[in-house]
Amino acid sequence: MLMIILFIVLLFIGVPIAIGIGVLAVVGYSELGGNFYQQIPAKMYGSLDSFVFLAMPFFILAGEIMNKTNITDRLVFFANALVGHFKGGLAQSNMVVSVFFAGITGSATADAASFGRTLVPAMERQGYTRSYACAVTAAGSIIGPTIPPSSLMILYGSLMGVSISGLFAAGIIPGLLIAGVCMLIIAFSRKSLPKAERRASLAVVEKAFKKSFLSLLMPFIVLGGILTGIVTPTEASALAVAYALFLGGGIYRELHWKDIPEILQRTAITTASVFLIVACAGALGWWLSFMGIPQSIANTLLSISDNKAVIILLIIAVLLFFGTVMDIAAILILLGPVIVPITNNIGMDPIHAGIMIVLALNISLMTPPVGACLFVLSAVTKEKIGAISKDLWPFLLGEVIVLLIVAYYPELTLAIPRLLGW
Amino acid sequence: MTYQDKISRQLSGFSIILGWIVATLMALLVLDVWLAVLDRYVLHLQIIWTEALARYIMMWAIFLSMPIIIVRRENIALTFLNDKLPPRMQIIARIIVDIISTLFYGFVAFYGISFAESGKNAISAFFDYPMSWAYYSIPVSFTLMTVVSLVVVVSDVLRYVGGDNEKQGV
Repeated sequence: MLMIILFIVLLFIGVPIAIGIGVLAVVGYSELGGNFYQQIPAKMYGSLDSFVFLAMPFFILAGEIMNKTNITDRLVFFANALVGHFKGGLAQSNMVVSVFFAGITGSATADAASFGRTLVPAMERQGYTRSYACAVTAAGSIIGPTIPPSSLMILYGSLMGVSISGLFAAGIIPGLLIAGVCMLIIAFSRKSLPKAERRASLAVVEKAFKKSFLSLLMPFIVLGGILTGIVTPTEASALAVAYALFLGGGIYRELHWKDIPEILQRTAITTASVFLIVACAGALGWWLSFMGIPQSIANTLLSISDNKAVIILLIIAVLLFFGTVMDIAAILILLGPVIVPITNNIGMDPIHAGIMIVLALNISLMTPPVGACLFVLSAVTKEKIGAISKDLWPFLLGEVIVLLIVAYYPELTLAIPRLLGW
Repeated sequence: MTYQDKISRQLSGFSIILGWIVATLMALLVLDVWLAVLDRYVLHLQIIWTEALARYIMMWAIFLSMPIIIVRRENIALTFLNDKLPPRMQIIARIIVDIISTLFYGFVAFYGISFAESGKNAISAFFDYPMSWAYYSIPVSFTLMTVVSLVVVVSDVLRYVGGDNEKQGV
């Protein structure tokens, strides 16, 4: 209990999340005696030293390269030709582009940042309020890490020993569901939203498709390789980098040699800020399980009810709650050992449980007051978080409903993995 | 030029150099994994060291990026409470936060040395170098982080004191 209070105090005075977790680890290990201090760097190192983790920086790198090549413009052009004539045309396109993008990058905050710079101003020019444009972007940003590739799934899979490829396959339907529900919410919004004057002609759609075809091909190459089991996720991520370089430098010619060092450096820094949290959480997590804390929390939760439906609801509530105040990678490492045994206990399929957990954490990225995607969007667009939140709640509600559907209907999530033989 | 300007110039120079090292390591990492893929599907030379080497390089690239994060103040933290404080209080809060961070970095750096030494006799599988080569990424990076963080604290304190002088001047 003291530890929790200490942690909250540290976070509220503005201590970086990783350091807050690290300080807790030091306090915890000090209870075991000074001989254990050397274990802190050892556990920090150990929680990162994995070949599978390489997929994370590589997918980030591929996304960064693609971002350098005006890919957003091309994809928006195509999406607009498809759905621009519906009510809230550009808002609908935003969702469709989020789906396209999802197959290229795996990070919600990166998507939110790049859309905040490009799509939000474009929507404002068409007459949307900035807060609504931000709300749509925030709602769409979580599609990125739900449809594979996804950093959080890589982390989950390697920590819990669940097939990452299986998780990737299982994320497709829930991700598409989220996009569909958000598009319905836009279509049935009581606001009067602008739309394109008329439907794009078939010729325009064809032209837009041709212009964006090679970018759209990337997710199919990457996912196809992983899902059919030809390449491992790490190998696929390396191929994604090669393909992005080939597109940006060779085909579109928008990528130049001088851009490369900065892209590499930014990738390393983005990865490092996540990995520092993972490392510190790994050190703290070892102490927690040494003390048997996850097990006792799990037992307490299980003693509340033995009804499977109630327990699932409890898990979702816990994840959404913690997700609003803490980094989701850290939650996965610290709460994973609590939650995963429970889901096993109530007979959930490990892949299904993984998707439910990842989706809940993704949704928590956009819950006020402290969702990371909201922060990024607010920083990029200078719109207040409060204003975005007001326009966000219908989307949030819709996504929570999708989460519940995913949680209670395992067939939905498991259809594609089963089809592929997992 | 004030002390703060000098300090921030030194710091940004340092982060540029480190940035180049990191970028080089990342490039090597990409090439190494490409080689692994190429070997597995095309060349079939059965090169066995690519995976171990990739992990060594990744650790160094990632850990050496961390001091840059401190220089740029890009650490992921909750700032919504801090932002509401008056400017002077914000500096004080930041100094406290930076001192706590510095102590933690120093702690990891110190115990990281004995951790790294422990890897001296462990030889990585498929790769004929002791694990301590990779383990040293922790003490080296965290020592750099401690130093950078300390410099940041000093520059914040100088700013705090400097702010006082300005007020007295008015």
